Amino acid sequence: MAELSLRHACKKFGSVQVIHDVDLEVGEGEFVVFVGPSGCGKSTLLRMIAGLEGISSGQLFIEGKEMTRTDPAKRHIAMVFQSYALYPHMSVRANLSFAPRMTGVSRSETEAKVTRVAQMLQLDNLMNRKPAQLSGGQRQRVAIGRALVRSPKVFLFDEPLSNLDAELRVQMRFELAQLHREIGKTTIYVTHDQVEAMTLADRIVVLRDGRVEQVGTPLELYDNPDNQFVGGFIGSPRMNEIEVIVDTRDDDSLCLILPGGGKAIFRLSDKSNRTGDRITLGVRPENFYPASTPEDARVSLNIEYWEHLGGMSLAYGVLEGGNRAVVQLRPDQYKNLRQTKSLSLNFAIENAFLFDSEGVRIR
Amino acid sequence: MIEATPAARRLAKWFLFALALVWLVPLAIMLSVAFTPPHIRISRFGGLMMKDVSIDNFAIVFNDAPILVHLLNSLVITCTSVLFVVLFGAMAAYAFARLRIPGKNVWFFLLITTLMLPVPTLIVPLFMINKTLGLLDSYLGLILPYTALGLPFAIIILRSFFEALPIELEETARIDGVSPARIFWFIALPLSWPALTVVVIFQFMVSFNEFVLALVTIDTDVRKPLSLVPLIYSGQFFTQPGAMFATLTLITVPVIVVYLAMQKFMVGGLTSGAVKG
Ligand SMILES: Nc1ncnc2c1ncn2[C@@H]1O[C@H](COP(=O)(O)OP(=O)(O)O)[C@@H](O)[C@H]1O
Ligand SMILES: [Mg+2]
Repeated sequence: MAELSLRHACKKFGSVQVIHDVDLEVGEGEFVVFVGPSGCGKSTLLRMIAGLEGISSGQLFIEGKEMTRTDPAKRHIAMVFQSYALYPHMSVRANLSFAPRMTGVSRSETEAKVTRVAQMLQLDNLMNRKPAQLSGGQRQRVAIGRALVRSPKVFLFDEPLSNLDAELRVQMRFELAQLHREIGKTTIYVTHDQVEAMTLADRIVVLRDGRVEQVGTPLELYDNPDNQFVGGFIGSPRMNEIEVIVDTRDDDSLCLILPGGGKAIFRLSDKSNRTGDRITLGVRPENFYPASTPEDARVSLNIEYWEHLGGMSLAYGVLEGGNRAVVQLRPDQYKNLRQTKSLSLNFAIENAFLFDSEGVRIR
Repeated sequence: MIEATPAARRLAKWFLFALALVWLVPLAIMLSVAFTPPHIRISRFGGLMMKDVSIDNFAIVFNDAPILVHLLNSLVITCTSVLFVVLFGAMAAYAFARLRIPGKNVWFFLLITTLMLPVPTLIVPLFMINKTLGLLDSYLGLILPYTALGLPFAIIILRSFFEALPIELEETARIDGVSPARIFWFIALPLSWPALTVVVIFQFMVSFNEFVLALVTIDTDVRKPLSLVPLIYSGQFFTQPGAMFATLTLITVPVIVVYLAMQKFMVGGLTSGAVKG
């Protein structure tokens, strides 16, 4: 049974609809990440689950019970905000014990819970400090601790790491993943950072303009995006999007004219006749490789600049035909190419995607 | 923040200095006359040129009038009205800031308009109400009107302060099952010290110094607040300006004490550490 499910959930602010017909099932213990560009409605959707925003239409179930209109206090959830929202006038200890004490948990039981959580998150030595005396990472841990103390059924996180510096973000990401493995609680996590989503999620929900674009495991989304938006959003550096023209159509394949005149034949189950259509070819930067012979080349890239990240080198430039592109190469490949201005490239057909003019994947 | 040139800043400094000087002259006269020995005649510059210093005038005042009784009257009336204004003002302001109430802004507008009424126009109606309720010549006859008159200002100040508090603090507590009343009491109120301090100081000052309503409401001398003392004893003190000014000095002391005591709470930044870093 799903721990949490949304059915046809919609949200309107006045006449503006920001969440459109979201259907979602989250299994028990699952770590689900909502990802999407800023303003796509991630926070709103999370706040609808928390009960901080009403659900305009549709339903919410938690553990099979309908909670669409239930008071936030009775949903057995805990939420960690981007801003941490620690009570500034209370010590760390008081922050952790505030909710249990206010909701009638006995003093000794609260004490025991707070001690256990403090140990788990290494807050023992900070218990008497005020939030203002903590570093960003420590504040973050207190906020997580405050959620843990309540032993909720579902954890909600709204961009909890985005106020931390890059290094700390990676560390806290790791700690969060570990914490989830330890306690195994159902978690919904919001971020605009696809790397965070890829590394933390059991399943990712990609949102755009208040609509679910695709739901799947990180690798499903990466290897098999349903549309151009998901293909472009997941993966870094970004997938190359190259305009191509359909040349001829066979029974089970499509022959494309690539920029620069090269040809590529895709086997597809899609049957529509697209001869003459302009469609988009998606190739991830790491799926390009330098052509070994001139006959082997499919496209050529005029290199504008290189970026070296140590383990990989990125070549940025313009393809014949005008599309910008980035190619990821190993450093040893770069060594042979450092003088090259124009790079002849090939890619494996099975690692490339086709999208129609609407951005929908052609399979 | 506007960047001022050094010249402009110096000009501003001198201007403020001159302004403060003008403001302080009456106060200085009051103090100098009060501390001049009773037998010396006040002469030039309203007594600012002091030849001798003594506290005999204060001795006269304490001997001739039950100052401490009047002080106690004032404190009871003022502190009760301060307490009421803070308590009810904060609750009303919080409701205005956070609850969804139909017609909220109409009510708020009405509240603001009451600030525009000149207080003297209210004296007669308030007197009649007090008379009807049998509150004439009692502390309550002043406490209730002072509270009512102080509330609009308090609500306006506190509402904007509550609205500026990070809503996530309250949302977190709400999700965690804390009742709205407790969120108000344990989170919103403690974080509002800077605004509450302004309200306390303002309400204390206004109630403590109020004169006209006190004059028409309280008849019995021993129940009169300190602000009426110069009037009650004007006959006795008229020939002794020193004693009169000593009385005035005594009246100003409590307000200054309250101001200084509360001032340290008036610092902002109480919410620092609540959100972001
Ligand atoms: N209280 C609100 N009233 C009106 N519009 C809102 C409100 N909250 C959010 N929105 C709008 O809803 C959209 C989604 O916002 P949000 O969920 O915060 O996006 P995200 O968290 O993905 O960045 C935005 O266009 C935003 O302007
Ligand atoms: Mg957001």
